[in-house]
Amino acid sequence: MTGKDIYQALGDIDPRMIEKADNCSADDPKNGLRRRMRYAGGAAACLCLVIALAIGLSSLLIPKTQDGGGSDQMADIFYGFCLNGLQYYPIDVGDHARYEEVKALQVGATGENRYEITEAHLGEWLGTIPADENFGQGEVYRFAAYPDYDAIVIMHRDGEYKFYISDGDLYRYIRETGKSDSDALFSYHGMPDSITEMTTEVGGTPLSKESVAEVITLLSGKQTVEYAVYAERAVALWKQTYGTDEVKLSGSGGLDYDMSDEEIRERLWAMTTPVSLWIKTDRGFDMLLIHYYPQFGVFNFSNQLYGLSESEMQTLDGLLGIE
Amino acid sequence: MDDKEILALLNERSEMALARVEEKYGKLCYRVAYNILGNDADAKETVNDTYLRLWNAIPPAKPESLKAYIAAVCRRLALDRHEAQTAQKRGSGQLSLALEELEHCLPAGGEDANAQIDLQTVLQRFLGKLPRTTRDIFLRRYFYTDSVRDIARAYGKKEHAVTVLLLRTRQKLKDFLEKEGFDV
Repeated sequence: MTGKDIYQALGDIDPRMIEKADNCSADDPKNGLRRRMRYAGGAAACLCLVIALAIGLSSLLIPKTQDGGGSDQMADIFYGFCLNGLQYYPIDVGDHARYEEVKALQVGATGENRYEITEAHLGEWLGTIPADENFGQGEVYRFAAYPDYDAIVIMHRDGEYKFYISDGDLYRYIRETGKSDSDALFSYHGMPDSITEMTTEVGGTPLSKESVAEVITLLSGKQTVEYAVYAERAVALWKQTYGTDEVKLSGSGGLDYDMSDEEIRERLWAMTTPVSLWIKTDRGFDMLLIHYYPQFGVFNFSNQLYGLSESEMQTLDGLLGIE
Repeated sequence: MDDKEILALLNERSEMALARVEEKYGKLCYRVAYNILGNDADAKETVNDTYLRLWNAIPPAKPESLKAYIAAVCRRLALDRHEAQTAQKRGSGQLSLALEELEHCLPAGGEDANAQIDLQTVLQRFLGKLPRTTRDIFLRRYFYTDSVRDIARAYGKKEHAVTVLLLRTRQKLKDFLEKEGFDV
């Protein structure tokens, strides 16, 4: 047997796995809404959208959710449960960084998701998950170490204790409330008051309470970006970055270029540096709020691109510590 | 247009079907082919071959997922083309790297000893046990042959984190294969 045998055998596995692996869309609640998947979806959607806007390829617009959709019962059973309007999933090793108390309970250092959880770690009882064909009835509790958090819970089922996490359901909230534009930023779980911490990878230091309120105010109520404006910015940035006129505005307000889609995609990517804005809330949710593209003056929220004026960009850059 | 409609067009032998397939899955196919072959011309030819293969296969084939089906067909064709090319020279796509990585999953000395074991079934079982994100990343690397860099971008992770995750998953796969009878 060779590595190639494994590679070839992977070509014949369950098509559902293959399909799902390429769907990192943030928008489908049935699509394994793990926190990172959702963020990945957001990031991918944002990048796809930015690039699509730049090169005028409608097929690259926001990734669609799974074709045909349909409820994937097995995925729900396997990956988690819904309680009090929140979707929970088994904790991932990567989540340790956020929960020191979880890390302390890990068994071994093998990377396996196994923890020494006992009755003593149970906090307030939150609800019951009915038995199904795969699992017995489960009882869900808060984790006593984080008594106010909805973001991490313990499930007692089939004689075992397991951690589950949720990242809040901002996107579902937007869908269900029908809120549009970036106004949803203001109303989700009482933002900005519910935000206990806001950080970016730029400054590293959490923003002050006043700055958080200013950022949210700045980002709220914005309209989706106009393609022509965006294209203009892309051309200017191209000139500034590469010093060439290879990319121009076309007559229809799009972009005109003489290179392959692959090449322009790569080069456009290279000149963008998204800034991720993360928040933590008083319920323990640790979420990516937006991707902000200072080079283009746009930000991505809930799979939409919103534009900022020059002065707003300067203000936001100042608040986030972007030079 | 959703996949059911595209499949209906294919079944009706309408040439519009291929236009819709290209519109919807052309970029996916190109990505799969390019990742394996590493050059634009070969990738484009492979994509065209994929459409032809799809046209000839449906009907009678009734794929459960058109996307997975077309990706698998394209991947197989790209791999065939890569094999033909490597008879003369080594390919420059992601495939060589991916295959090298997978070599490390092989149990020592187990070659051909259990050739009759259904590798695909074992892999299926292994993948079914992985957490969703890990499985998706593993498949992005070893089914779609995406580069670590692209995967890191798509998942909002650092490249190093993806590399480590893949390394651990390959180690798990190696252990799993051994347990399933692929050992010495």
